[in-house]
Amino acid sequence: MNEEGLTYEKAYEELQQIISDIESGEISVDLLSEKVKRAAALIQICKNKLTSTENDVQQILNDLKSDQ
Amino acid sequence: MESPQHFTLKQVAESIRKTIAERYSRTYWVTAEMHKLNQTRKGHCYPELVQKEDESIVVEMRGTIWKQHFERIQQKFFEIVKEPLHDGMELLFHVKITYHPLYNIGLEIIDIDPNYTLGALQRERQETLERLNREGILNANQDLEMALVPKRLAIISQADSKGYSDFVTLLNGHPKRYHFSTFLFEATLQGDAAITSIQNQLKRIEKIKHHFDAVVIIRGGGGEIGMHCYNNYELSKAIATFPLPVLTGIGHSTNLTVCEMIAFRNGITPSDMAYFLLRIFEELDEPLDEILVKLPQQIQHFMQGATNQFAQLARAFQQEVQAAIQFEKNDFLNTVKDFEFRVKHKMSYSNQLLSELRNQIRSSSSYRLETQKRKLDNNIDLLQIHGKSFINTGRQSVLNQENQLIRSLPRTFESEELKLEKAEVRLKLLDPITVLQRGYAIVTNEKGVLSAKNKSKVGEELKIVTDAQTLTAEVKAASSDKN
Repeated sequence: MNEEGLTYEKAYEELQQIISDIESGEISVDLLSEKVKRAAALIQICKNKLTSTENDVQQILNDLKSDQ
Repeated sequence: MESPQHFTLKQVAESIRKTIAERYSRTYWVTAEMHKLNQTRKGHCYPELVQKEDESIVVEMRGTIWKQHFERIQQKFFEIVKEPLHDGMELLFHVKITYHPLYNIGLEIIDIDPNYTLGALQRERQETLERLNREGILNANQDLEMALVPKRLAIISQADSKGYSDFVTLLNGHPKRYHFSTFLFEATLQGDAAITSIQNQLKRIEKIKHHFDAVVIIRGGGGEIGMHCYNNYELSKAIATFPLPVLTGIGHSTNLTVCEMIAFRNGITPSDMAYFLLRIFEELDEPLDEILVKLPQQIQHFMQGATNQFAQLARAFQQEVQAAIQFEKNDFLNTVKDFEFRVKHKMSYSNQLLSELRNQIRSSSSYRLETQKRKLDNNIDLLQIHGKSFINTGRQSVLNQENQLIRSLPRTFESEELKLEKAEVRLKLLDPITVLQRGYAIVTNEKGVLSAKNKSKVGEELKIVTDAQTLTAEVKAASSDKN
Protein backbone atom coordinates (compact mmCIF):
# COMPACT_ATOMS: atom_id res chain seq x y z
CA MET A 1 0.00 0.00 0.00
CA ASN A 2 3.09 2.21 0.10
CA GLU A 3 2.26 3.37 -3.41
CA GLU A 4 4.21 6.09 -5.14
CA GLY A 5 6.79 5.99 -2.35
CA LEU A 6 4.87 8.81 -0.69
CA THR A 7 6.52 10.20 2.39
CA TYR A 8 4.39 10.63 5.49
CA GLU A 9 4.70 14.36 5.12
CA LYS A 10 3.56 14.41 1.48
CA ALA A 11 0.69 12.04 2.17
CA TYR A 12 -0.46 14.05 5.17
CA GLU A 13 -0.17 17.33 3.27
CA GLU A 14 -2.30 15.98 0.44
CA LEU A 15 -4.79 14.64 2.95
CA GLN A 16 -5.05 18.04 4.66
CA GLN A 17 -5.63 19.66 1.27
CA ILE A 18 -8.46 17.28 0.44
CA ILE A 19 -10.10 17.83 3.84
CA SER A 20 -9.90 21.60 3.57
CA ASP A 21 -11.21 21.42 0.00
CA ILE A 22 -14.20 19.42 1.17
CA GLU A 23 -14.69 21.79 4.12
CA SER A 24 -14.62 24.87 1.96
CA GLY A 25 -16.92 23.22 -0.58
CA GLU A 26 -14.39 23.71 -3.34
CA ILE A 27 -14.85 20.18 -4.56
CA SER A 28 -17.56 19.45 -7.07
CA VAL A 29 -20.01 16.69 -6.28
CA ASP A 30 -18.58 14.78 -9.26
CA LEU A 31 -15.13 14.72 -7.67
CA LEU A 32 -16.28 14.05 -4.13
CA SER A 33 -16.25 10.25 -4.15
CA GLU A 34 -12.90 10.17 -5.92
CA LYS A 35 -11.43 12.59 -3.37
CA VAL A 36 -12.88 10.65 -0.46
CA LYS A 37 -11.38 7.43 -1.82
CA ARG A 38 -8.04 9.18 -2.14
CA ALA A 39 -8.32 10.55 1.40
CA ALA A 40 -9.02 7.07 2.74
CA ALA A 41 -5.98 5.71 0.89
CA LEU A 42 -3.81 8.51 2.25
CA ILE A 43 -5.00 7.87 5.81
CA GLN A 44 -4.10 4.21 5.30
CA ILE A 45 -0.65 5.19 4.00
CA CYS A 46 -0.04 7.43 7.01
CA LYS A 47 -1.29 4.81 9.47
CA ASN A 48 0.94 2.23 7.82
CA LYS A 49 3.94 4.50 8.19
CA LEU A 50 3.28 4.57 11.91
CA THR A 51 2.70 0.86 12.34
CA SER A 52 4.49 -1.03 9.59
CA THR A 53 7.82 -2.80 9.75
CA GLU A 54 10.30 -1.38 7.32
CA ASN A 55 13.72 -2.03 8.64
CA ASP A 56 15.53 -5.05 7.44
CA VAL A 57 17.71 -6.08 10.38
CA GLN A 58 19.63 -8.43 8.12
CA GLN A 59 20.55 -5.50 5.90
CA ILE A 60 21.86 -3.53 8.90
CA LEU A 61 23.96 -6.48 9.94
CA ASN A 62 25.37 -6.91 6.42
CA ASP A 63 26.21 -3.22 6.20
CA LEU A 64 27.89 -3.33 9.60
CA LYS A 65 29.97 -6.34 8.56
CA SER A 66 31.03 -4.88 5.22
CA ASP A 67 32.34 -1.80 7.01
CA GLN A 68 34.58 -3.72 9.34
CA MET B 1 91.15 -3.20 62.43
CA GLU B 2 88.00 -2.28 64.20
CA SER B 3 85.07 -3.59 62.43
CA PRO B 4 82.67 -0.81 61.38
CA GLN B 5 79.45 -0.32 63.44
CA HIS B 6 76.63 -2.28 61.99
CA PHE B 7 72.84 -2.27 62.49
CA THR B 8 70.25 -4.82 62.02
CA LEU B 9 67.70 -4.14 59.34
CA LYS B 10 65.09 -3.89 62.09
CA GLN B 11 67.17 -1.17 63.78
CA VAL B 12 67.37 0.73 60.51
CA ALA B 13 63.65 0.36 59.98
CA GLU B 14 62.94 1.45 63.53
CA SER B 15 65.23 4.47 63.09
CA ILE B 16 63.47 5.48 59.86
CA ARG B 17 60.06 4.95 61.49
CA LYS B 18 61.06 7.14 64.45
CA THR B 19 62.54 9.83 62.20
CA ILE B 20 59.53 9.94 59.99
CA ALA B 21 57.12 9.89 62.91
CA GLU B 22 58.96 12.83 64.44
CA ARG B 23 59.48 14.70 61.20
CA TYR B 24 55.92 14.17 59.93
CA SER B 25 54.05 14.29 63.19
CA ARG B 26 51.06 16.18 61.76
CA THR B 27 48.66 15.34 59.00
CA TYR B 28 48.67 16.84 55.43
CA TRP B 29 46.23 17.48 52.59
CA VAL B 30 47.68 15.91 49.45
CA THR B 31 46.28 15.80 45.91
CA ALA B 32 46.94 12.65 43.92
CA GLU B 33 45.34 10.39 41.39
CA MET B 34 43.96 7.22 42.85
CA HIS B 35 45.27 4.78 40.25
CA LYS B 36 43.72 1.67 41.81
CA LEU B 37 41.57 1.41 44.94
CA ASN B 38 42.53 -2.22 45.73
CA GLN B 39 39.76 -3.00 48.21
CA THR B 40 40.26 -6.26 50.06
CA ARG B 41 37.57 -8.67 51.15
CA LYS B 42 37.96 -7.51 54.69
CA GLY B 43 36.97 -4.02 53.59
CA HIS B 44 40.37 -2.33 53.88
CA CYS B 45 41.71 -0.50 50.82
CA TYR B 46 45.28 -0.14 49.62
CA PRO B 47 45.00 2.41 46.84
CA GLU B 48 47.92 3.09 44.52
CA LEU B 49 48.45 6.85 44.54
CA VAL B 50 50.27 8.31 41.54
CA GLN B 51 51.21 11.61 40.03
CA LYS B 52 51.42 11.84 36.24
CA GLU B 53 53.25 14.24 34.03
CA ASP B 54 52.55 14.02 30.30
CA GLU B 55 50.53 10.87 30.88
CA SER B 56 53.42 8.99 32.47
CA ILE B 57 53.68 8.21 36.17
CA VAL B 58 56.44 10.15 37.85
CA VAL B 59 55.59 9.32 41.50
CA GLU B 60 53.84 6.33 42.99
CA MET B 61 52.98 5.68 46.62
CA ARG B 62 50.98 3.15 48.54
CA GLY B 63 47.97 4.36 50.42
CA THR B 64 45.98 2.70 53.15
CA ILE B 65 42.35 3.25 54.11
CA TRP B 66 41.20 1.23 57.04
CA LYS B 67 37.77 -0.29 56.85
CA GLN B 68 36.16 1.96 59.49
CA HIS B 69 37.48 5.07 57.69
CA PHE B 70 36.63 3.80 54.25
CA GLU B 71 32.93 3.26 54.98
CA ARG B 72 32.56 6.80 56.30
CA ILE B 73 34.66 8.33 53.50
CA GLN B 74 32.79 6.37 50.82
CA GLN B 75 29.35 7.36 52.13
CA LYS B 76 30.15 11.05 52.46
CA PHE B 77 31.85 11.09 49.07
CA PHE B 78 28.88 9.46 47.38
CA GLU B 79 26.40 11.82 49.01
CA ILE B 80 28.22 14.87 47.73
CA VAL B 81 29.81 13.78 44.45
CA LYS B 82 27.10 11.29 43.48
CA GLU B 83 29.85 9.00 42.37
CA PRO B 84 31.56 6.19 44.22
CA LEU B 85 35.26 6.36 44.74
CA HIS B 86 36.74 4.66 41.73
CA ASP B 87 39.98 4.17 39.90
CA GLY B 88 41.48 7.07 38.02
CA MET B 89 40.00 9.85 40.17
CA GLU B 90 41.95 12.94 41.08
CA LEU B 91 41.33 13.28 44.82
CA LEU B 92 42.28 15.45 47.78
CA PHE B 93 43.46 13.10 50.56
CA HIS B 94 43.85 13.90 54.19
CA VAL B 95 46.96 11.77 55.00
CA LYS B 96 49.41 10.82 57.63
CA ILE B 97 52.88 9.82 56.33
CA THR B 98 53.75 6.44 57.79
CA TYR B 99 56.54 3.96 57.63
CA HIS B 100 56.03 0.25 58.02
CA PRO B 101 58.97 -2.13 58.20
CA LEU B 102 57.21 -4.53 55.85
CA TYR B 103 55.30 -2.18 53.62
CA ASN B 104 57.75 0.70 53.51
CA ILE B 105 56.77 4.34 53.20
CA GLY B 106 53.06 4.91 52.73
CA LEU B 107 50.22 7.29 53.27
CA GLU B 108 47.51 6.45 55.74
CA ILE B 109 44.37 8.04 54.41
CA ILE B 110 42.16 9.46 57.12
CA ASP B 111 39.76 11.35 54.89
CA ILE B 112 39.02 12.35 51.31
CA ASP B 113 37.53 15.78 50.55
CA PRO B 114 34.53 15.16 48.27
CA ASN B 115 34.11 18.87 47.53
CA TYR B 116 37.47 18.93 45.81
CA THR B 117 36.36 16.14 43.49
CA LEU B 118 32.95 17.69 42.99
CA GLY B 119 34.62 20.95 42.07
CA ALA B 120 36.90 19.17 39.65
CA LEU B 121 33.96 17.37 38.04
CA GLN B 122 31.98 20.59 37.82
CA ARG B 123 35.00 22.30 36.37
CA GLU B 124 35.31 19.60 33.78
CA ARG B 125 31.62 20.01 32.94
CA GLN B 126 32.02 23.78 32.70
CA GLU B 127 35.16 23.49 30.59
CA THR B 128 33.51 21.02 28.23
CA LEU B 129 30.53 23.35 27.79
CA GLU B 130 32.75 26.36 27.19
CA ARG B 131 34.91 24.50 24.70
CA LEU B 132 31.94 23.19 22.72
CA ASN B 133 30.57 26.71 22.71
CA ARG B 134 33.87 28.15 21.50
CA GLU B 135 33.95 25.60 18.71
CA GLY B 136 30.39 26.53 17.78
CA ILE B 137 29.02 23.00 18.09
CA LEU B 138 27.08 23.40 21.34
CA ASN B 139 23.72 23.30 19.54
CA ALA B 140 24.83 21.36 16.46
CA ASN B 141 22.76 18.27 17.27
CA GLN B 142 19.73 20.29 18.39
CA ASP B 143 19.81 22.20 15.09
CA LEU B 144 19.31 19.00 13.11
CA GLU B 145 15.91 18.18 11.71
CA MET B 146 14.28 15.12 13.20
CA ALA B 147 12.60 12.78 10.74
CA LEU B 148 8.86 13.33 10.73
CA VAL B 149 8.27 9.70 11.68
CA PRO B 150 11.35 8.69 13.73
CA LYS B 151 10.76 4.97 13.76
CA ARG B 152 14.18 3.52 12.95
CA LEU B 153 16.22 3.79 16.12
CA ALA B 154 19.81 2.86 16.82
CA ILE B 155 19.87 2.18 20.55
CA ILE B 156 23.09 2.44 22.51
CA SER B 157 22.48 0.53 25.73
CA GLN B 158 23.03 -2.73 27.51
CA ALA B 159 20.82 -5.68 26.57
CA ASP B 160 20.38 -6.73 30.19
CA SER B 161 19.72 -3.26 31.61
CA LYS B 162 16.33 -2.40 33.02
CA GLY B 163 16.38 0.91 31.16
CA TYR B 164 16.68 -0.81 27.79
CA SER B 165 13.94 -3.36 28.44
CA ASP B 166 11.62 -0.65 29.83
CA PHE B 167 12.23 1.48 26.77
CA VAL B 168 11.62 -1.27 24.21
CA THR B 169 8.60 -2.62 26.12
CA LEU B 170 7.00 0.82 26.19
CA LEU B 171 7.69 1.46 22.49
CA ASN B 172 6.17 -1.83 21.39
CA GLY B 173 3.37 -1.84 23.95
CA HIS B 174 1.39 1.12 22.68
CA PRO B 175 -2.31 0.27 22.23
CA LYS B 176 -2.19 1.63 18.67
CA ARG B 177 0.62 -0.83 17.93
CA TYR B 178 3.00 1.72 16.50
CA HIS B 179 5.99 0.00 15.07
CA PHE B 180 9.55 1.04 15.83
CA SER B 181 12.50 -0.70 14.24
CA THR B 182 15.13 -0.82 16.98
CA PHE B 183 18.65 -2.09 16.67
CA LEU B 184 20.82 -2.42 19.74
CA PHE B 185 24.45 -1.33 19.85
CA GLU B 186 25.80 -2.58 23.14
CA ALA B 187 28.07 -0.28 25.11
CA THR B 188 29.27 0.44 28.61
CA LEU B 189 27.18 3.26 29.94
CA GLN B 190 28.96 4.47 33.05
CA GLY B 191 32.43 5.22 34.26
CA ASP B 192 35.41 6.17 32.15
CA ALA B 193 35.04 3.09 29.96
CA ALA B 194 31.75 4.49 28.70
CA ILE B 195 33.53 7.36 26.92
CA THR B 196 35.28 5.21 24.30
CA SER B 197 32.63 2.50 24.34
CA ILE B 198 29.84 4.89 23.39
CA GLN B 199 32.05 6.72 20.88
CA ASN B 200 32.94 3.45 19.14
CA GLN B 201 29.29 2.55 18.76
CA LEU B 202 28.51 6.04 17.44
CA LYS B 203 31.21 5.51 14.79
CA ARG B 204 29.64 2.18 13.77
CA ILE B 205 26.20 3.76 13.55
CA GLU B 206 27.52 6.67 11.50
CA LYS B 207 28.75 4.26 8.82
CA ILE B 208 25.22 2.94 8.32
CA LYS B 209 23.34 6.06 9.30
CA HIS B 210 20.99 5.75 6.29
CA HIS B 211 19.27 2.91 8.16
CA PHE B 212 18.30 5.12 11.08
CA ASP B 213 16.29 8.20 11.96
CA ALA B 214 17.82 8.76 15.39
CA VAL B 215 20.21 7.41 18.01
CA VAL B 216 18.95 6.77 21.53
CA ILE B 217 21.35 6.41 24.43
CA ILE B 218 19.51 4.50 27.13
CA ARG B 219 20.77 3.83 30.61
CA GLY B 220 18.64 2.85 33.54
CA GLY B 221 18.68 0.92 36.72
CA GLY B 222 22.33 1.67 37.25
CA GLY B 223 21.80 4.10 40.11
CA GLU B 224 23.49 7.44 40.33
CA ILE B 225 27.01 6.29 39.78
CA GLY B 226 29.61 6.84 37.10
CA MET B 227 27.83 9.70 35.40
CA HIS B 228 30.82 12.00 35.08
CA CYS B 229 31.75 10.35 31.77
CA TYR B 230 28.84 12.27 30.25
CA ASN B 231 30.67 15.52 30.95
CA ASN B 232 33.69 14.35 28.99
CA TYR B 233 34.61 16.66 26.12
CA GLU B 234 35.33 13.92 23.56
CA LEU B 235 32.05 12.09 24.14
CA SER B 236 30.07 15.34 24.25
CA LYS B 237 31.65 16.45 20.98
CA ALA B 238 30.90 13.08 19.34
CA ILE B 239 27.24 13.46 20.29
CA ALA B 240 27.01 17.16 19.37
CA THR B 241 28.49 16.61 15.91
CA PHE B 242 26.65 13.34 15.17
CA PRO B 243 24.76 13.55 11.85
CA LEU B 244 21.58 12.04 13.30
CA PRO B 245 19.58 13.40 16.24
CA VAL B 246 20.86 11.82 19.46
CA LEU B 247 18.28 11.26 22.21
CA THR B 248 19.40 10.59 25.75
CA GLY B 249 17.60 8.78 28.54
CA ILE B 250 20.28 8.08 31.09
CA GLY B 251 18.12 8.38 34.20
CA HIS B 252 19.66 10.05 37.20
CA SER B 253 18.69 12.86 39.52
CA THR B 254 21.86 14.90 39.65
CA ASN B 255 22.61 17.98 37.59
CA LEU B 256 22.23 17.54 33.86
CA THR B 257 25.41 16.29 32.24
CA VAL B 258 26.86 17.98 29.16
CA CYS B 259 25.78 15.08 26.92
CA GLU B 260 22.19 15.49 28.06
CA MET B 261 22.36 19.25 27.58
CA ILE B 262 23.67 19.12 24.03
CA ALA B 263 21.66 16.07 22.89
CA PHE B 264 18.82 16.66 20.44
CA ARG B 265 16.43 15.76 23.24
CA ASN B 266 16.90 14.52 26.77
CA GLY B 267 14.49 12.40 28.72
CA ILE B 268 14.80 12.15 32.48
CA THR B 269 14.45 8.37 32.20
CA PRO B 270 14.37 5.79 29.39
CA SER B 271 10.57 5.63 29.88
CA ASP B 272 10.37 9.38 29.47
CA MET B 273 12.26 9.08 26.18
CA ALA B 274 9.93 6.26 25.03
CA TYR B 275 6.91 8.46 25.84
CA PHE B 276 8.49 11.31 23.92
CA LEU B 277 8.86 9.15 20.80
CA LEU B 278 5.38 7.66 21.18
CA ARG B 279 4.01 11.17 21.60
CA ILE B 280 5.42 12.07 18.17
CA PHE B 281 3.53 9.12 16.69
CA GLU B 282 0.40 10.00 18.64
CA GLU B 283 0.57 13.60 17.45
CA LEU B 284 0.78 12.35 13.88
CA ASP B 285 -1.94 9.79 14.47
CA GLU B 286 -4.41 12.04 16.29
CA PRO B 287 -5.16 14.23 13.27
CA LEU B 288 -5.65 11.05 11.22
CA ASP B 289 -8.19 9.73 13.73
CA GLU B 290 -9.80 13.15 13.79
CA ILE B 291 -9.97 13.12 10.03
CA LEU B 292 -11.51 9.64 10.10
CA VAL B 293 -14.24 11.03 12.34
CA LYS B 294 -14.44 14.34 10.56
CA LEU B 295 -14.40 13.05 7.01
CA PRO B 296 -17.81 11.29 7.09
CA GLN B 297 -19.25 14.31 8.89
CA GLN B 298 -17.72 16.62 6.34
CA ILE B 299 -19.05 14.51 3.51
CA GLN B 300 -22.49 14.43 5.10
CA HIS B 301 -22.32 18.14 5.70
CA PHE B 302 -21.14 18.69 2.17
CA MET B 303 -23.87 16.51 0.71
CA GLN B 304 -26.47 18.20 2.94
CA GLY B 305 -25.18 21.54 1.73
CA ALA B 306 -25.33 20.41 -1.87
CA THR B 307 -28.84 18.98 -1.36
CA ASN B 308 -30.04 22.17 0.32
CA GLN B 309 -28.48 24.26 -2.35
CA PHE B 310 -30.15 22.15 -5.00
CA ALA B 311 -33.52 22.30 -3.22
CA GLN B 312 -33.13 26.04 -2.88
CA LEU B 313 -32.27 26.34 -6.52
CA ALA B 314 -35.22 24.16 -7.47
CA ARG B 315 -37.53 26.30 -5.33
CA ALA B 316 -36.08 29.47 -6.69
CA PHE B 317 -36.38 28.10 -10.21
CA GLN B 318 -39.99 27.11 -9.61
CA GLN B 319 -40.76 30.55 -8.25
CA GLU B 320 -38.96 32.19 -11.11
CA VAL B 321 -40.81 30.08 -13.62
CA GLN B 322 -44.14 30.73 -11.94
CA ALA B 323 -43.42 34.42 -11.78
CA ALA B 324 -42.37 34.42 -15.40
CA ILE B 325 -45.49 32.51 -16.45
CA GLN B 326 -47.65 34.84 -14.37
CA PHE B 327 -45.95 37.82 -15.89
CA GLU B 328 -46.38 36.46 -19.39
CA LYS B 329 -50.00 35.64 -18.62
CA ASN B 330 -50.67 39.13 -17.34
CA ASP B 331 -48.83 40.59 -20.22
CA PHE B 332 -50.86 38.48 -22.61
CA LEU B 333 -54.12 39.35 -20.90
CA ASN B 334 -53.22 42.99 -20.97
CA THR B 335 -52.35 42.70 -24.61
CA VAL B 336 -55.64 40.93 -25.28
CA LYS B 337 -57.56 43.55 -23.31
CA ASP B 338 -55.68 46.26 -25.02
CA PHE B 339 -56.35 44.63 -28.36
CA GLU B 340 -60.01 44.17 -27.55
CA PHE B 341 -60.22 47.75 -26.45
CA ARG B 342 -58.48 48.98 -29.55
CA VAL B 343 -60.58 46.76 -31.79
CA LYS B 344 -63.75 47.92 -30.12
CA HIS B 345 -62.57 51.46 -30.34
CA LYS B 346 -61.61 51.04 -33.95
CA MET B 347 -64.86 49.24 -34.70
CA SER B 348 -67.01 51.91 -33.14
CA TYR B 349 -64.94 54.57 -34.83
CA SER B 350 -65.21 52.76 -38.15
CA ASN B 351 -68.92 52.24 -37.64
CA GLN B 352 -69.31 55.88 -36.93
CA LEU B 353 -67.25 56.70 -39.95
CA LEU B 354 -69.30 54.31 -42.05
CA SER B 355 -72.59 55.71 -40.91
CA GLU B 356 -71.23 59.17 -41.51
CA LEU B 357 -70.10 58.11 -44.94
CA ARG B 358 -73.39 56.43 -45.56
CA ASN B 359 -75.15 59.55 -44.61
CA GLN B 360 -72.73 61.53 -46.65
CA ILE B 361 -73.16 59.20 -49.57
CA ARG B 362 -76.83 59.23 -49.13
CA SER B 363 -77.04 62.97 -49.01
CA SER B 364 -74.31 63.65 -51.54
CA SER B 365 -75.40 61.02 -54.11
CA SER B 366 -78.96 62.24 -54.28
CA TYR B 367 -77.68 65.75 -54.61
CA ARG B 368 -75.22 64.80 -57.26
CA LEU B 369 -77.80 62.83 -59.15
CA GLU B 370 -79.99 65.83 -59.01
CA THR B 371 -77.28 68.13 -60.39
CA GLN B 372 -76.17 65.64 -62.97
CA LYS B 373 -79.71 65.22 -64.13
CA ARG B 374 -80.07 68.94 -64.33
CA LYS B 375 -76.83 69.19 -66.30
CA LEU B 376 -77.98 66.48 -68.60
CA ASP B 377 -81.28 68.14 -69.11
CA ASN B 378 -79.43 71.33 -69.85
CA ASN B 379 -77.17 69.55 -72.24
CA ILE B 380 -80.11 67.94 -73.92
CA ASP B 381 -81.70 71.31 -74.27
CA LEU B 382 -78.46 72.77 -75.54
CA LEU B 383 -77.98 69.87 -77.92
CA GLN B 384 -81.40 70.31 -79.24
CA ILE B 385 -80.87 74.01 -79.73
CA HIS B 386 -77.31 73.68 -81.08
CA GLY B 387 -78.08 70.65 -83.19
CA LYS B 388 -80.81 72.45 -85.02
CA SER B 389 -78.68 75.48 -85.76
CA PHE B 390 -75.71 73.29 -86.69
CA ILE B 391 -77.74 71.32 -89.10
CA ASN B 392 -79.02 74.51 -90.52
CA THR B 393 -75.59 76.00 -90.90
CA GLY B 394 -74.28 72.77 -92.45
CA ARG B 395 -77.12 72.66 -94.81
CA GLN B 396 -76.46 76.25 -95.80
CA SER B 397 -72.74 75.66 -96.35
CA VAL B 398 -73.39 72.58 -98.44
CA LEU B 399 -75.69 74.57 -100.56
CA ASN B 400 -73.08 77.27 -100.93
CA GLN B 401 -70.45 74.76 -101.94
CA GLU B 402 -72.76 73.21 -104.40
CA ASN B 403 -73.38 76.52 -106.02
CA GLN B 404 -69.72 77.37 -106.15
CA LEU B 405 -68.91 74.05 -107.68
CA ILE B 406 -71.47 74.41 -110.28
CA ARG B 407 -70.05 77.82 -111.13
CA SER B 408 -66.35 76.84 -111.24
CA LEU B 409 -66.48 73.43 -112.94
CA PRO B 410 -66.13 74.49 -116.68
CA ARG B 411 -63.15 76.68 -115.95
CA THR B 412 -61.48 73.99 -114.13
CA PHE B 413 -61.82 71.52 -116.99
CA GLU B 414 -60.32 73.95 -119.51
CA SER B 415 -57.18 74.66 -117.56
CA GLU B 416 -56.68 71.02 -116.91
CA GLU B 417 -56.83 70.14 -120.58
CA LEU B 418 -54.21 72.76 -121.32
CA LYS B 419 -51.88 71.36 -118.72
CA LEU B 420 -52.27 67.91 -120.20
CA GLU B 421 -51.35 69.03 -123.68
CA LYS B 422 -48.17 70.73 -122.45
CA ALA B 423 -47.16 67.59 -120.69
CA GLU B 424 -47.71 65.50 -123.78
CA VAL B 425 -45.33 67.72 -125.85
CA ARG B 426 -42.61 67.48 -123.19
CA LEU B 427 -43.01 63.77 -122.99
CA LYS B 428 -42.57 63.39 -126.70
CA LEU B 429 -39.34 65.40 -126.58
CA LEU B 430 -37.95 63.12 -123.90
CA ASP B 431 -38.83 59.82 -125.56
CA PRO B 432 -35.58 57.93 -126.63
CA ILE B 433 -37.20 57.06 -129.90
CA THR B 434 -37.50 60.72 -130.64
CA VAL B 435 -33.90 61.14 -129.60
CA LEU B 436 -32.72 58.25 -131.84
CA GLN B 437 -34.66 59.80 -134.66
CA ARG B 438 -32.66 62.97 -134.17
CA GLY B 439 -29.39 60.92 -134.84
CA TYR B 440 -28.31 59.89 -131.33
CA ALA B 441 -27.32 56.30 -130.62
CA ILE B 442 -27.41 54.23 -127.39
CA VAL B 443 -24.07 52.51 -126.77
CA THR B 444 -24.05 49.64 -124.27
CA ASN B 445 -21.58 46.96 -123.11
CA GLU B 446 -22.33 43.94 -120.99
CA LYS B 447 -22.86 46.20 -117.94
CA GLY B 448 -25.26 48.57 -119.63
CA VAL B 449 -25.19 52.11 -121.08
CA LEU B 450 -21.70 53.60 -121.28
CA SER B 451 -21.22 56.54 -118.98
CA ALA B 452 -18.60 58.08 -116.68
CA LYS B 453 -19.16 55.20 -114.29
CA ASN B 454 -19.22 52.52 -116.99
CA LYS B 455 -16.26 53.16 -119.20
CA SER B 456 -15.42 50.85 -122.13
CA LYS B 457 -12.05 49.16 -122.50
CA VAL B 458 -10.07 48.37 -125.69
CA GLY B 459 -11.18 45.06 -127.24
CA GLU B 460 -14.56 45.08 -125.54
CA GLU B 461 -17.65 44.31 -127.61
CA LEU B 462 -20.22 47.11 -127.67
CA LYS B 463 -23.87 47.21 -128.76
CA ILE B 464 -24.90 50.36 -130.61
CA VAL B 465 -28.60 51.04 -131.06
CA THR B 466 -29.67 53.63 -133.65
CA ASP B 467 -33.09 54.64 -134.93
CA ALA B 468 -32.74 52.28 -137.90
CA GLN B 469 -30.60 49.37 -136.69
CA THR B 470 -28.65 47.71 -133.94
CA LEU B 471 -24.88 47.32 -134.40
CA THR B 472 -22.21 45.27 -132.70
CA ALA B 473 -18.77 46.97 -132.57
CA GLU B 474 -15.37 46.31 -131.06
CA VAL B 475 -13.47 49.10 -129.30
CA LYS B 476 -10.17 49.80 -130.96
CA ALA B 477 -9.03 52.64 -128.82
CA ALA B 478 -10.28 54.53 -125.76
CA SER B 479 -9.40 57.84 -124.16
CA SER B 480 -10.94 59.98 -121.52
CA ASP B 481 -10.59 63.25 -123.41
CA LYS B 482 -13.90 64.91 -124.08
CA ASN B 483 -12.80 66.75 -127.25
